[in-house]
Amino acid sequence: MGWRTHDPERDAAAYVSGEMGQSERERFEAHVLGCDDCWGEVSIGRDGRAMAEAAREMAPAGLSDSIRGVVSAGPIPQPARRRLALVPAAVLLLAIVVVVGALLGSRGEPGPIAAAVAAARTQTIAARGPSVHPAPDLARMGLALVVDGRVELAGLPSDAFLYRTSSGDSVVLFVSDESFPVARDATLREMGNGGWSARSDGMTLVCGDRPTNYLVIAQDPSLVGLVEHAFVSGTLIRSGRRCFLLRPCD
Amino acid sequence: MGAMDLVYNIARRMERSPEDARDLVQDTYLSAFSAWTKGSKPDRVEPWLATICLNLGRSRYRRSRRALREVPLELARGAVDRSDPESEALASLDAAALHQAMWTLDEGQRIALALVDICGLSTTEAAQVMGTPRGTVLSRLHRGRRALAHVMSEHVDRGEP
Repeated sequence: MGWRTHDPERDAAAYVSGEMGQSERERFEAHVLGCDDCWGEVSIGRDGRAMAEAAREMAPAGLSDSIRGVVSAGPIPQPARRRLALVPAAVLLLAIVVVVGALLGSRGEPGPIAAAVAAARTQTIAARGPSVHPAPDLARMGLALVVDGRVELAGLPSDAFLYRTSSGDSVVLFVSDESFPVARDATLREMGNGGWSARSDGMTLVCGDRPTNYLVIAQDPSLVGLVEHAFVSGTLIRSGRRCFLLRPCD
Repeated sequence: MGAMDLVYNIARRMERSPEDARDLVQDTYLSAFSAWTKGSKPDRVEPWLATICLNLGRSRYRRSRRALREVPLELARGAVDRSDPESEALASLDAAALHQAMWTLDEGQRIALALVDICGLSTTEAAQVMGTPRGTVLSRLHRGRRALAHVMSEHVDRGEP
């Protein structure tokens, strides 16, 4: 059976883009073997595609931070930005993170989980105000508190605490008076503190409800386990204002 | 590819300088948020962000009236037949030359390459983003690929780094 049409440019484009179905592709390949025009176009199309792919770039590391900085700087002389500048900057940035995060990498996750993962991935805690709970002190574990605050994870109010190790790894602890939804494909844990663990968008998550609802997210699973253990055990978790857990202050 | 990377790669094909590209990414995210608050709920966020970025980039271009084809490279003249241009060209590619070569393409070709080959959208999605029939996208895509291969082949022929 011959090829249905003879449009070397469009056929080569669809073929090189991998957008032909199997039967269509087989018929086209049979045609290409006997058609110098299509053979040449496919060949050059492959070359060009490989070069275009090689032009792919990563967004600059500080781009998301710079967006936050511009938003926080106040009114910007463009109509769209002027309107947005009326919104508190932190709320705006949180909303961007939450909206994009909820739509993207954590596709299929419940909104609060997607938002939390997005915040952990971007290491962005856009606080609406001070945290309700005092920040757990994890300094003895080599974790420095970078930022904390009150956030809303797709409608779920929570405190967020972003820590960083000396090597630059980050981990985010969310603490809420409300239960976190269960992540998609989560594994329920019957041992230890119960709760669940999951992987989402390259991040490791653990969640529990004792002594209060918490969610720990980091790229490094061992870091997640370390923070969860410290948080749950409470032996290292104190703030300058008051003890974080129910355990009495010494 | 993450959303920020996707938008940045499109912005880099809409704006010549990295600084302007960063501004365009910022505008894209702000507009996306504004649209979201007004009820825009896309099924897929990547084409949605790509559309916003593309429209904003075009608006900026119209405002500034800058010529998009202000390319200093004299790379785009003629075609060179090569038996294996890919291996020779890829072996000698450098990011700056490749980026400049992309700017020798027509805008439609450059955007088609950015959306499909760099950002990974399907040609159907790219057609929606660009507001053109899929067949037009396929043509632009192929002509862009062909032109890029030719430009880079000449670049390699001249022995430029």
